[in-house]
Amino acid sequence: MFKELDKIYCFIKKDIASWSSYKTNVILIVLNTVFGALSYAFWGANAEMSIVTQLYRMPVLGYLLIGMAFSTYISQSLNVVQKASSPWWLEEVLVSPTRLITFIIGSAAWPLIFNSIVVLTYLGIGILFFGLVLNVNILATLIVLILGVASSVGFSMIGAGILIIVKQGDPVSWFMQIFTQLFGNVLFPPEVMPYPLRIIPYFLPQFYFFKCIRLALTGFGIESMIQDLAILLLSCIVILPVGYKVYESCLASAKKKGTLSWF
Amino acid sequence: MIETIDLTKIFNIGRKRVLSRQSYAAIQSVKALDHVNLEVQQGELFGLLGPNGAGKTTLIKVLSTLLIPDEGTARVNGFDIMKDPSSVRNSIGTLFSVGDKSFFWRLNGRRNLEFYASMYNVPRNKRRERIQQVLEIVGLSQESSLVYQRYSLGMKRKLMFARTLLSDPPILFLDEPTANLDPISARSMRSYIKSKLNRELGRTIIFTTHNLEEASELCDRICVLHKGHVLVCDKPDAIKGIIKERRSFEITVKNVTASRIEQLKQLITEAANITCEIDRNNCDRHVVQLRVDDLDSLRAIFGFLSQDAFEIVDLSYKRPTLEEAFIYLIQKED
Repeated sequence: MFKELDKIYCFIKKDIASWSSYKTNVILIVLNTVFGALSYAFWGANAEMSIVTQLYRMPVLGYLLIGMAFSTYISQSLNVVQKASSPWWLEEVLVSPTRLITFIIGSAAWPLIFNSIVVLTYLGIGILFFGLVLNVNILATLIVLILGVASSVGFSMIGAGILIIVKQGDPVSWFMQIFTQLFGNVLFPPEVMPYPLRIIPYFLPQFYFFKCIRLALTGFGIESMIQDLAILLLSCIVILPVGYKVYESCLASAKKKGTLSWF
Repeated sequence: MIETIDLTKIFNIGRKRVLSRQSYAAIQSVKALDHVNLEVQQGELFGLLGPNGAGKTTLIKVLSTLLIPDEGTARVNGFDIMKDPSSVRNSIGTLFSVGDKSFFWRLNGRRNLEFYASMYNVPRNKRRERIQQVLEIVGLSQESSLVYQRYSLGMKRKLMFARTLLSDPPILFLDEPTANLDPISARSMRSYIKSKLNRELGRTIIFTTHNLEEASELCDRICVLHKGHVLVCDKPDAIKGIIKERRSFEITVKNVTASRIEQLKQLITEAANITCEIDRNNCDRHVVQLRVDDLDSLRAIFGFLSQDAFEIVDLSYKRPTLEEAFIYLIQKED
């Protein structure tokens, strides 16, 4: 167990060192985060969406900032395994005595840590400059975060598996990104959409994630969101093992065809 | 230590349109390994030779659990590659011929090795010391703080070898380890592989190369693969012995008249077992270089030339090389 944790730590250390070596990119990402947060904060501070106030009992500013901040989180989680499964080094990791699950968690760790900083920046700007008031229920927030990330990583594993076979173009990630933006309760609640489209979000785990995270950050406990949390948990129970199995099977298929290191 | 049992690997290489009453596409396939049966003993330095596409890298990848065979299986360090791949991976170190992209280009050599040391379960408290050791072994300790993208091809190769040595595994698969190295570094690596890793530490090594002299110098036994088949598997001298009838004498004589050279050519044309090369640049000085394949022919040639007052400039007995044996085996198979 310690060995595996140590490996995950080494993944993070390696990723931080690589990431921070692109200094211009680091500056641009920081600026992008700050300007992105400011844009949505200005927009939210001056927009009116009565349905948001009714449903979430929060101002549009908070709704938008939380949606934007966590959408980067979910977006990263939906792509994290694909990014890690580079043919350049997949063989080298797979030939080492490193478990597949350690490889996946290790690869996901730094992008998620970094996005936590992005989330804090978004929320910090809202709190410091726009009077956003949050009342964080830490336990509920952590549970929602873990379940939301886990379900997205499950989809990411399916996408990475397909990518290992087809090499370019991952339809799962593409579909989930588009649907999360449109129906995931990120920038607007599904209630503002025409009736038939309102049904779609209920089939997306991301919808429940965004609903629950907003509640958790505004002081609601687990008991207030138990139904939505249960659906999110159920989606994790289904998607995570399915994703792992698909990824494992696609790796086995590439090992069989001899295409593991192909592009 | 390593045993392959009817190991077969087939790759589909595309579809070929077959014209018939109902046109259809047939899958074309190639047998990269065709019922390969090999046994490598503990502590053996075993060479894999073969032309491009012979199946050498495929065999190493199958043994490293990166490829799943279509038929047969193999045991590495007593573990079945199909049933217990994780134990196989715990027993091996690999250096692949195209593994240089697996390093992180923005990190220096030492940091790259730190990451892979954790992947290979090198204990945290021994990591720094082990990394320093392997850097010194490959001669990269001075360049270890240089970012990987500044490394030359040879330095990349050395870092790959250093990574292979990190966990000090009992079995090493080295796929063309000396490719891209300068002659001095290549010699140093060969010496380390044979003297230290193999002879002193008793590591079992499977080694692929296109450099036949290297294989002859290093390996206890050599397996020649061609189109996925094992053509021969034996000690280097025994493989050279396959073409021992091809031993030859190389003679350089001078003071042979031009007319005699023409007559000699005629003689050679008639005698199938004599080959002759005339150095055109020296024709005016009547210097002739001959390669004679047996003693009877040699006597005949000397008898013929003795009609002139010829002088022997050089005479050498040429033993067959591994390269000649290799070419003979491959051409015979084709």
